[in-house]
Amino acid sequence: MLCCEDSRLQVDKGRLKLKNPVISASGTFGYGIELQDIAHPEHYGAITLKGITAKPRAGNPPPRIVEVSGGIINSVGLQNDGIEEFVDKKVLPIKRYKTAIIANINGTTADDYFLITEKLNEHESVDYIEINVSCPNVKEGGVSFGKNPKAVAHIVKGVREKTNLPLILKLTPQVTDIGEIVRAAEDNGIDIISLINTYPAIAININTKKPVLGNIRGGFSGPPVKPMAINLVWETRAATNLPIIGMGGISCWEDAVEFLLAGADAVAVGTWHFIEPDIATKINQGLCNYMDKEQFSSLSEITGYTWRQYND
Amino acid sequence: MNQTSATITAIRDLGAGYFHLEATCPEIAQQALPGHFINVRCESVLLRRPLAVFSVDASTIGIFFKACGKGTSWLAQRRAGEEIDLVGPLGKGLFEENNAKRVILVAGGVGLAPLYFYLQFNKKSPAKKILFYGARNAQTVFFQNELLNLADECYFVTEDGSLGEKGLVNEELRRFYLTEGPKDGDVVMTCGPNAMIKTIISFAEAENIPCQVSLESYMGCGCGVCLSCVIPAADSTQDGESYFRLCTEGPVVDSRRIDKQKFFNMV
Repeated sequence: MLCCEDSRLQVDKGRLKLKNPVISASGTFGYGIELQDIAHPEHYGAITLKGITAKPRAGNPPPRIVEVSGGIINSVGLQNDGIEEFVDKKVLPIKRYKTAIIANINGTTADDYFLITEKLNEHESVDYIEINVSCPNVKEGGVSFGKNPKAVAHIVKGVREKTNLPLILKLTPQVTDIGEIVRAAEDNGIDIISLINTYPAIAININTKKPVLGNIRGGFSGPPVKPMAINLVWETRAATNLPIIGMGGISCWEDAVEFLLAGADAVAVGTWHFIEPDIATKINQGLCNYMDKEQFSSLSEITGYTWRQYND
Repeated sequence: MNQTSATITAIRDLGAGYFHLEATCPEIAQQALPGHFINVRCESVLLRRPLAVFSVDASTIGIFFKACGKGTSWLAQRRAGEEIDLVGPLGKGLFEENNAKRVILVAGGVGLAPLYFYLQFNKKSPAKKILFYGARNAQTVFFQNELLNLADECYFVTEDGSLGEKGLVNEELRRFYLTEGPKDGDVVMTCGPNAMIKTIISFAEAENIPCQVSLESYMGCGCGVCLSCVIPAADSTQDGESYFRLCTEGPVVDSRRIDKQKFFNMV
């Protein structure tokens, strides 16, 4: 049996139900099937598909990625073909695999989120909807919604009215009080919190004296953000009892354990897919070994273990 | 596509910062075609470094690279017997002969790599292969004997005139066409610095010669999922922009697919 099917790894908290806790972060694993020769979708508890918008988007001008100390800055800008043919062309190919599917939805207006949700709801083809209010790479909407509790409340309420699917809210780290955002979402029917999205960042070429990225600014990700992401998982755990998907800088199973100990119920891998495409298998294997060694009988015993020592 | 730990069988310092490395990885060697690249994990940096396949035999692939950054400098310090982590072969857009009768290959510096593989792979094909290889000086014109054997004609060009014609490779190409004239079934295949590529594309398009160009771009995944390595496309969409992924729709593309103005402003 593959370790990713080990029953001890199951996540069953509120409306988050996964065969294992490893999720692919949106935008780092395409539509789930492209890397199957070396990173199979069934090794994941869930696949988050590349973010979608109501209309097609060409994305930001290149260069869109630059490596900086310890991490990368990207400014892809939500390049996608829009919701219209999304289900037929992007969701159906991954449907035949045994893994949960998360659609990551984006908007420049609140109505965009409602429209996309309506379309997804018609087809009942995805298992979860992740409301992305934290993309730093779009000029309108995106992270500006995620910093504002009223905008979050409005979007979550409107999306909730359109569907009974479990809803995930993806948060930006760029807030003073993450509890305020989480409560605004919870009061309006959110089921699961995921965090963090990337940090806004700029790299400048000292020879040309111009920004490296075509969009000037991008989002920073990679191992250096991990301690800051764990801090926000810790704060989110204090604000809510909803399931939490923790992400930010995960590059090995030990990182995943840290997120779980801080209060995450599941974890997502992003940037590290580009370096070790088969990381999901390694994390699941590492978690099983850790549970053997530390005598945890289920994943839920690890979740929040450290947090509880200081907060109960 | 494979991810594999490959054993380095040989690494040669060719001088002037250039290296030739061979590693055992039959699964990649048996699938690789001219234009394919591999993504090499370099411990000194985060992202894998994409490098063109230079040569293959049944179980080994060769890469020819210049140590110009932290990643390739780390790679240059490897020794025979060590393992390197590779993903490949990558890329879908490849050098293709189709019905070409005469293939004009134009290489600049380390851009020789995919064209060398083309020559090796297509050694027995009926098309005539003419190579123009530009470099800074005689010390940086590598694999001369092999190239003279693989290509039907070779023109070496150096900036200081220490080997072959003095000047730039595009000037030599122009001279060749002034004498020979274009022929039906000509195809230009090129790889090298962007300044060189720009002049080659502009020459080929002006002469109505199909031009296949191997480009470079900052890459994230190398496998089509991150949409980071995109190139401005000549066709536009509703909102006026269109991009294609170099990793899976290239790295070799028909020059007409590129929005040249935007691309060369960008690099």
